[in-house]
Amino acid sequence: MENQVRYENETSDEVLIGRFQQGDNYAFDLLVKRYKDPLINFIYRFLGSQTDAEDVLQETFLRLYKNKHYYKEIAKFSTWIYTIAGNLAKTELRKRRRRTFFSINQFGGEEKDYEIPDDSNNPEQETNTQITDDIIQAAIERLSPKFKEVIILRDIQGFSYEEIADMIQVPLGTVKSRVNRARLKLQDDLQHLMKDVD
Amino acid sequence: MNSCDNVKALFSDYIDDSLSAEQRAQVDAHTADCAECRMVLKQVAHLTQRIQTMSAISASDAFDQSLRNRIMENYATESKSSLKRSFTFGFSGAAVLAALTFFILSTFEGPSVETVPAGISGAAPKAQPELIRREAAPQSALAAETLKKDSLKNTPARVDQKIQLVGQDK
Ligand SMILES: [Zn+2]
Repeated sequence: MENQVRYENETSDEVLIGRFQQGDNYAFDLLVKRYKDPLINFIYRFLGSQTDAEDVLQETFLRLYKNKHYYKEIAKFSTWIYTIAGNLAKTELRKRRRRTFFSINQFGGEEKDYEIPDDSNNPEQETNTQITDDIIQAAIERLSPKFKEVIILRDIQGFSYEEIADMIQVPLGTVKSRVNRARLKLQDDLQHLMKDVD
Repeated sequence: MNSCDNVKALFSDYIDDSLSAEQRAQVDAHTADCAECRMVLKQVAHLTQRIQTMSAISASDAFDQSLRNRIMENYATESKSSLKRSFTFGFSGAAVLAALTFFILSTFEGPSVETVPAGISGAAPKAQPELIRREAAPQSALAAETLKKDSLKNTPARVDQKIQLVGQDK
């Protein structure tokens, strides 16, 4: 039993995916166990909906299951799985935009069955209130995908700039300047709520 | 670019404490004189700290089960039997175990059944001294073929396209 726990806790991701590639589904279970919470948080920050985030997370693990042989040892497993999850989350955002576009054209914007940017946190409506997690989340969702992605990876998931550059395939300098611009955009968006920040 | 923009470009590194002493001094000097940049820097730092400490979301309790179901659905047709055989604790093991436990409990009133924690049941990992990595060529070729037909082909293994992903971190 102790060995069991040690195996679960101390075996590296890379060893687990290697074992899974050799047909050991228990290793897959352990990877799911290890990554489901960090990944749901990651995906949720893109989409702002737990249900949608769980769908995308399931799709992510299905990809892992199906495409396990695409993983090569040269990459860190975490980089690989976050890349898959991030791409799927962005695909979901694109789908939503298409749905919104279609619905508005089709139904004169009356249809509310789709997600549109939530303006319940409309800046004008609340000055000098506390900045809550929900307000921050809404501001993150207002960022364009390329800024959203880097701010989530950096400030919420805590990846290094180098890891992010690997994941999203852009040069390190670009990642850094995007993170900087994303932080400035968020500040600009929420500055009216931070008048008393000192 | 005016000097405010130049200084603002350094804010992230300033907050992350990764500027050279010289650059740091440059930011300090500018923000000492420029109230606008001073305020922006303070707010960016505050907000960044808030974002970094937001409370995390967790997967729901139902997640594991629905993942299992989806995997079974997706793979049941191609390799049902091998799948069932190969699943360890969760995917078929837990269901069988649950059914069995229920059966035992409902048949014999009362005897305490020692339940095996999910995840540990049938699945003690065989001690394997070292990982022997195979060339997975045939399967990869097959997977690549499948993937071509996959409407979701844009997303998965971007990893394959790039070599510079090599972790310096290992
Ligand atoms: Zn200035």
